[in-house]
Parts: sequence; C-alpha cells; structure tokens
Amino acid sequence: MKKTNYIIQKARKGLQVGLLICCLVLLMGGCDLFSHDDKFDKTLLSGKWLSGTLYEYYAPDGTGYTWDILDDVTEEEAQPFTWTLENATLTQIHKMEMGGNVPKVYTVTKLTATTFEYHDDYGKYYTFTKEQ
Amino acid sequence: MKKGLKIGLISFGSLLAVIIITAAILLLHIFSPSKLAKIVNDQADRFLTCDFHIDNVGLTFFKTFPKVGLDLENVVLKNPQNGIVSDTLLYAKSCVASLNIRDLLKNKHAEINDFSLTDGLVNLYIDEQGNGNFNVFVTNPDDTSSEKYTIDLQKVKANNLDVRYLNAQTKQKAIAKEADVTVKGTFAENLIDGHAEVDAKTVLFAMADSTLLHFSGDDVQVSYDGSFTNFNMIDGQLNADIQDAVLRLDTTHYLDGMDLSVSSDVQADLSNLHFDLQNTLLNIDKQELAVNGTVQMDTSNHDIHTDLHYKTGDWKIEEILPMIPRVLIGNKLDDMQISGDIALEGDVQGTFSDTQKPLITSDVAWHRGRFAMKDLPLDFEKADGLFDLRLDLDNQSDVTVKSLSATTRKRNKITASGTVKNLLGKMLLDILATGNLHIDDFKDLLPKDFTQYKGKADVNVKTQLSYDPETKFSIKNIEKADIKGQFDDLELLYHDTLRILSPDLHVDLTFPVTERPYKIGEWLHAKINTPNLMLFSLPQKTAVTTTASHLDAYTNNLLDSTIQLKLATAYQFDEVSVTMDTINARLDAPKGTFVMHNTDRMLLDYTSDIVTGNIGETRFYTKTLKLEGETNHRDGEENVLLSWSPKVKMQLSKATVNFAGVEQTLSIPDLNVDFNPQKCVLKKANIGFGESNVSITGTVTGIEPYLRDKGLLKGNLELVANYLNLNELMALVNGLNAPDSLTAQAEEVAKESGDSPFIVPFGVDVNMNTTIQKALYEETVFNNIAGRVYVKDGVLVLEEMGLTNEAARMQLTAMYRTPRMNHLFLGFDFHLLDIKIDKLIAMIPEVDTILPMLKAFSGNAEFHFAAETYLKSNYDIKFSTLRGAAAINGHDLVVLDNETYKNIAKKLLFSKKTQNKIDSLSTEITIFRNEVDVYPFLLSIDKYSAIISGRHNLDLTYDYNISLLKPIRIGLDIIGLEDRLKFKVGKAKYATLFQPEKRKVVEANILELKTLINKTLQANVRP
Repeated sequence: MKKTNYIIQKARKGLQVGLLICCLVLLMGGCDLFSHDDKFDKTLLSGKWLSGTLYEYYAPDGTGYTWDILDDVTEEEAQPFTWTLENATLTQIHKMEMGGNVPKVYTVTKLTATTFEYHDDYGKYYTFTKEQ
Repeated sequence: MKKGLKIGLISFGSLLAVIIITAAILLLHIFSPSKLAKIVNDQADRFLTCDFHIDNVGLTFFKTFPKVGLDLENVVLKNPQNGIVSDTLLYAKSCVASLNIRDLLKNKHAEINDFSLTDGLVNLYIDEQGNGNFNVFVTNPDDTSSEKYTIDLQKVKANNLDVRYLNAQTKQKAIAKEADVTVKGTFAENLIDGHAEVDAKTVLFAMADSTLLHFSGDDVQVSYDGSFTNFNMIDGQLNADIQDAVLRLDTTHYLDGMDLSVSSDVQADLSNLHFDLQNTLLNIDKQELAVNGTVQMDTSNHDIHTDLHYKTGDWKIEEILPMIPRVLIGNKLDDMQISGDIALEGDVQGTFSDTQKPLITSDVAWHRGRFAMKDLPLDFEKADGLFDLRLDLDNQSDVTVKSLSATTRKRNKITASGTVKNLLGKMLLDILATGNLHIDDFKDLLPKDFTQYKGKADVNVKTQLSYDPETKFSIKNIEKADIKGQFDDLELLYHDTLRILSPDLHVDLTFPVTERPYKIGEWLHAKINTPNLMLFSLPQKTAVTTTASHLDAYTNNLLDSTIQLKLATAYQFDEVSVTMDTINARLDAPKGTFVMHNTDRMLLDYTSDIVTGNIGETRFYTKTLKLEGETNHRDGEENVLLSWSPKVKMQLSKATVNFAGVEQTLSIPDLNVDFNPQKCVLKKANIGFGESNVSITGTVTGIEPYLRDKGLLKGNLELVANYLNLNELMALVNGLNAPDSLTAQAEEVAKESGDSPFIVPFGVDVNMNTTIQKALYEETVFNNIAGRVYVKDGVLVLEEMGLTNEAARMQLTAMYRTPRMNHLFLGFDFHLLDIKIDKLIAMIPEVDTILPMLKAFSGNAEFHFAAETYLKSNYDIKFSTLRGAAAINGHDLVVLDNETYKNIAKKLLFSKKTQNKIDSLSTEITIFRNEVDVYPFLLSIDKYSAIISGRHNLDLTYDYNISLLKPIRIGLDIIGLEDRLKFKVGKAKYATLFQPEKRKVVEANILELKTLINKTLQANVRP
C-alpha cells in the first residue's frame, strides 16, 4: 500500500512536471524557439572554412572537400563530398573511392560571411571561420 | 755488213791490182819516180775504168826490207757517180807494197809480201740500181782462160784509214774512222781465207731510212779468222771489243754507252743476212751471255728471224735492269725494287719486227734476292727462287714460280710457288704460299683497331689474285684464296680496352665461296677452332673465356666497300665463362647460329645446357636455355632494348634465382616466353618463390613506351597458384620502380622505425586473373581465391576477389596505393557471406572497434564492409580521413548473455524467460573520422521488438538508443565509456520508423540514407 501511494505521488509529480513542460513547449513553440526551419543563405557557404586544423571547402556547385592538417594531409590530398543545405539541414555525402557513400547530416546554427557553425544529433559542434 | 766487207775486199783487190801493175812497170821499164809515175799513170787505163793518179812511185828497200817494194805517194782513184757526195773512191797518202811480179805475171799469183796504206780514205757508194763505185777494174769478156789470179797476202796493213760506205739501195751507211787494218791470207777465185784485224777509233752504222737504226762504238777492235767466200759467205771466228757502244732504234736505246765484247764462231750468208752463231759469248758491261743459234734478217722487210739459245752468267739484277730497253718492259718495273743474282737460260725463237716479237723462254734462278714494290707493304729479302719465264710480247707472258723462299721484315720466312699469268699486263697470280710469321711484325698491315699483336702464325695461303701495275695493289685484287693459319700464343689488344688471348688458334679462310647456307651473299668462309680463347676488357672488369671453341662463319664480300658487312656463323663451345664487374656466368655447351644481315639486323639461335652464375649477390642457374632471337637496330635510341629492338623466344627449364638479401629461392621449372618490344607473351611460366608456387601465362605489352618513360608496362596475365605466400611476394616486389623521392622516404622511415610500409610497384599496369588454391597473408590463410589483381603505377587493386577461409566465404575488392610514405591509401570493400561472427572478429579485430556490439551476437551473418582511409607510414590510421560504410544481415542469431545484455534486459523489463534468439538483424553503419553511426535497425528477441541506433566513437564513448516498440514503447539510452556505461530509460526515439503511414520526415530521411548506403555497397558485389 505504502508502495502504491508512493507510485501515485510520483505519477502526480510527473504529471505536474509534464504539464509544466507542455506549457513551456507550447510557449516556446509560439515564439519559434525550437524551430528547425531556419533558412541560411547557401551562397555564403562557398569557400574554405577552418576549424582548428580541420578544413572544409564548399564549392557553389554542391561539391566540396575536406582535410585535416593535423594528420599531415594537404589540400591536394583532400577527400571529396557533395553537400546540400536545405533550411538549416546540411547534408554531406562523402564519396569513397571504392564506391561507397557516407552521409552526414548536420544542423546549421550560424552561417555568416565569416562564421559557420553546425552540429549533429549527437551533440558534436563545429565552429568554422572563413579562410581568405 | 756483208756489202761493206765485200766492198772493202774489192777495194783492197783493186788497190792490189794497181800496185801490181805499178810494180810490174817499175820492174820492167822504169826505176825513176817520175818515170815510174808516168808509166803507172799511163798504164792504169789498161786495168782501171776510173780516173787514176799517183803523184810519185819509187822503189823502196827499207820499207819492204829485205825485199824491194814500191813506194807510192798520193794515190787517188776517182769514180764519180750520180748521187755520190765525193768522186774520190780511194785516196792514200802513202802506199807501200812488195810482191812477186814474175809470179804474178807468169803464174797469175800475186804474193804480196808487204802492203801498207797510210793516211787514207775509202769512199764506197752503191747507187739505187745497185752499182758500186768500186767496180773500176777492166774486165776482158774474151778472156776464157781457166787460170785465175790468186792473191797471197803475207802482210797487209792500213793505218789511219777512214772508210765511208753508203748504199742508196738498202739505205745503209757505215763509217769507220782512223781504222788500222791488218790482213793476212789468201785470195783465190772467190775464196778469201785468212786472218784480219781491224782497230778503229770510231765505228758507226746506221740505216738511212725511217728505221732510224743506229749503232756506234769507240775503240773498236775486231778480229776475224776464217774464210770469206764469194764475198758473201763468212765462216770463221769473230772476236770484237767495242767500247761505249750505242745501239739505238728510233729513240730506244738497246745499248747505251756500254762496253761490248763478242766472240763467236760465225757462219754468215751476207746476201741473205743469215747468221749462225755458235759458241758465242757476249759480254755487255761485264754481264756474260752465251748464245747459240741463228739470226736472219729478211732484207725485204727487215724482219729478223731468231732461233737462239742463250745462257747467262750470274747477273746482278740491279745492273741488268737499267740495260733493258724501256720499250720492252714499259714502266712495269718503275715501282719495283729488285736485286740479287739472277741466271737465265732459255731460247729466243720467232720474228722480231714492227708487228711481231720473238718468244723468249727462260729458266730463271734468283739468289740472294731482294724485292720491294711501291704498293706492296712488304719487302722481301734473302730470296731464292726458280722460275720458268715465258716472255711472249705478242700474246701473254707468264711465269711459273717453281720455288721461292724469302724472308720479310727480318725474321718472317715465306715460301711460295705457283704461276703468274700475263706478266706484262694485268697479272693473274695463282700462288701457293706458306709463311712462318711473327704477327707483331705485321701490325701496320692489320686493322688499326687492334693496337697490339703478339704471337706466331704458320700460314698456308692458296690464292688467285690479279694485279695491274697501272693501279694500286689492294686486297681487292685477291680473287680467290684459301688461307689456313695456326696461331700460337696469340695476343691481341683491341682499342686498348679488349685483350684477346689464345695459346692455340686455327683459322681456315676461303674466299670466294659458292655455297649459300645463310643467304647473306656469302663470300668468305672462315673456320676458327681453338681449345682456349680468352677476352679481357681493360681494366679487367670483363673477362670471357671459352674452351673447345668452334666457329664456322661466313661473310659477304669484305672487299666491296659499297655493301654493308654481313656475317653468319655457327658456333659451338664446350664452355663459356663470363665475368663482368659483379656478374659471373658459366655456360655449358652453348651452340647455335648467329647471323648479322647488317649492323642493324641480327639473328641468334642459342641453346646450351647449364647456365649458372651471379649478378652481384644474386645467383642464377638454369639446366637448359634456348634462345631464338633477332634484333633490328635503330639509331638514336639510348636504351639498349629499344636500340636493338630484340625479338626473342626463350625457353629455359629448372632455373633458379637467389636474390641478394632474400632468403627464398625463385625457382622457374619451366619458362617459355616470346618477347619483343611491343609484346611479351608468357606461354608458360612456372615460378616458385619460397613457399609460393605459381603458373603464369598471358601477355605483357607497352614495353616500348615503358622503356621511354612514356607509358606503363601493361600486363594481362593468368595466374594459377597452388600456394601463394603474399608476405614473400610483397617483399619481393616492394618498391619496384618506385620514384626516387618515395624510395628516399622509405629509407628514412626504415631508418627511424626499423621498417617501412609496402610500396606498390610503379611503372606497371598489370591485370592478373588469379586462381589461387591457398594464400597466406600475415597469419591468415585464404583458400580458393579467384579474382583479378591490378597493379597500376603504384596502385594495387584486388577486384572482386572470391576467397574462403574457415570463417566465411568472402569477396574482396581492395585498393592500396602509396602516393607518399606518410600518406598511404587503403580502401576495401569486404563482403563476407555466411560468416561466423566470432570468427569474423578474430579474423578482423578492427571489426570489434568499429562494431563493438557485434561481439554480443553469436551465429552466422552476412557482412558487407567498405571503408577507406589514409595511413601513416607505420600503418596508423589517419582518422580524419577514415570513411566507411557497413551492412550486416544476420539470421538466427543468439544474443550472448553478457553484462551489457543483462543491463539492457533489466532496464527494459525483459522477462527472465526471454529467449535470446534473434530471427533477423539488418543494419547499416557508417564510419566518418572517429564516429561510427549505427543507423536504426529493427531487432526482435522473443516477444520484444526494438529499434537500435546510435553512435560510438573510436575513443570508445557510446551514445546509443534502444527504442522498444513491443510490448511497450519505451526508450533506453546507453551513454558513456564502454566500461562505465550509463543506462537511462526514456522515450522511444524511433517509434514510427518502420511504420510508413506514421513515419516522420526525419525518419524518412534516415531510411533514404540507409538505402543509399546499401545501394552503394551492393554496387560492388559481384553477382
């Protein structure tokens, strides 16, 4: 019995918390806080971006390549990918020479002429600055 | 001459008659000079038909003591005649004679005890009708008395008498100046018999016509002892000495200031100019010549008919040659120097005229001779020879060399015999010669390419050659030759760089030849045999030695400079050894043929037994070797293969190669290859290396562009192997043709770390279709491997290789390349069928890193894994370059009851009775850098269904989610490090992923990506 009451109290608390969260979600949804429908100007993406030792280059035609000088890789040795940017969703499909594709999907959070930020669903964030 | 003699005798008779008449008158009537002279002059008409005058006639006792004689002064006989220059027939300043007048008148016998003329002149002339001015005696046609006058000359002398003779009919003239004449003999009827001597200061005889024959001599002493019949026939012994004799015909001097002496038993018919000479000994400038025979001149045409036998003493050639008129020998001897003692004996037969020359034959003995010729580079000394000479100036003159021996260049002996045809024209020599020669003495005659010659040679030469003195002699004049030579201790030095040695070398040369075994225009046939031949390059980096060498060679015409050299030879050796720098080779019983059509095209046919040797520390051996090849030389090519463009068919058996620093032996049991710069066809190549044993067939192309560094060496090969140790094979080809920069990097890496990565061969584009029963790589053995292997310029590709091992059936497509030492590319597409998961992890441990969850399952699965990455020089992965995609399809798996499963089961409230079997499992995975993303897949265990997805990083941090769909919807997040995982119950993340009607956009995108991954993976799978 004691155990049952404990569960009911827990459920109530949970329900209260749930309701509170629902209210917050509704409020935040109203102010578009979690909206993933951000649109970025993909033309700003063209060019070479640097994050630490990692480089990414985006060409306007939807191709690009990436390399990391930390691993003693030069730009000439960079690996290719294709990319799309739909709203805030950046999709990179990395082409393997052997014929396979490795898709990577990111959410862009910032794209300016000098700054480019995105992250994936597993909480990995990247911040790039534009290389001249 | 007979005319002159006749005229002289007639003149002498006439003079004698005048003297007799004078003496008779003197004796009968008058003794005073004036009266005697008057009487003689008056009575002369009774005896003479010409004018006759004597200034004084007196008796003398002192001049003819003890007998009384007449002394006449200024005796003149004149008989003018047309054409004659002077009408004086005879003039004598003083004439003394004593004779028996009574005997003369009574017995018609004139015994002239003493008769002399002093300081006189005789001028004899015969006109064109043959009338002589000396026919001045009165002849009485009525005198039929049988008694004829006879004359007995006891002592007749003439001193300082000039005699001139001119025959207008025969165009002959003769002059004797200051002649002293002594005559003793008898004259009866037409027979003169006695002894006569003539000494003249000068004698001249000439033809006054176009013959331009001239003879002259000084201090002429002639004696004749014999008869003179009918003023025509001479039979006696003639001796003559003439100083400074000149005999000239036209401009040709047959004698030119020479001293002559002649003694001969002469029988002559002067009217027919026929002379029979016996015991004739002619001495011309101390050169003796004995002559017997006849000479006759045809008076109608001046042809001289000869039938003479002659024999000389030992003549000095150098003294004789200048005597020979140039007209006889032309300039044949101009370029010759010939000396020594020569003796000739032979005949001169035939006619000498403007159009004919007599045949001269001679046995010639030549001793202590010396011979040199301008264009003949050899001088001959100590020559001794016997020759038969046949000198036929009208036709062909020949010499037979019966024997000839000589030395040349001091110590080289030669002998010869044979014939020389057409001696005075373009000679044709047929010579058999032998020589014992020191080769170094003939260095200047031998090819200048050889700078040193040593050794002795016994040479036999049988040759036919032509020689035209008008042209320079050269070896081209040799028309046929058979030369056999044996060389002892031969030592040659070629261009100061190649020494050729043979202690015993036999050479047999024949040219020209008629056989055509090689169709190269065979001209010279050379057989060369030697038990030992050695060739050394200097400094002695290269040495070739042969034993029992036999060459049977042909060349085209070496003497024709307009054609290129062609050479063909059959060869056979017992053994050939070659040492060149660090290369050593020994060839047992090599034999075959070699044909050089020109310096650009050559053919080789070679077979041998064992060939063994080493190149540096690499050793090779073959039991048999057979080559058929040809080369076509091309100018302007630096590479040897391109320059000679060889086409070779090679077969060898039971060959082995031991490479330096490689423990394993490369064995080639059988090799059959056709090679040319365009294509190499491996008809059969069984090769073993270490534990590997392969058979290769196929073609290799692109050799020429490869050699020009303009293309890759292309191969299309079939490789069948029972066993292949890839570790050994990779070590063998590691770094082959790699760029220098890469090799340097590899050396640097090896220096730092003790090892360097495998470098794929460069410069080749080889496609191998492989069928391998068993292959070892690292520690793993693969079975039944079939597929294609490409090696292309530093890139290794395994394409759709089917293979099996104890874990699975596999298909592998892989690529490995080495652009630089710290940036190695590795990519593969690995498709494993029906693999035992535990074996998979054991076989590829990296799978556990990429898919750690896999070790939670047991059973068989289909695993498709494609990945690529760049590696460091130590094969460490450059994670920033790592890309991968995998798909796993499993059936009837068992979830292993490990700690993680227990935690999951607890959090998701699994029943304890849950069976941990999985009907199916299908998931897609990507790898990007160090992120491994597992795309959502559905998993059914007993009554539970769940969707699993998530990520783990290669640093072993996890972020997974299990969305339980049945029996309740609940989610479980698994987060944290592998050994400290946190399990957190939450919402089911993909509740509607596999419910199309309820699927959200994001979920749809995920499925699209799964499809994309699967499709691209399947694209690499062989049907």
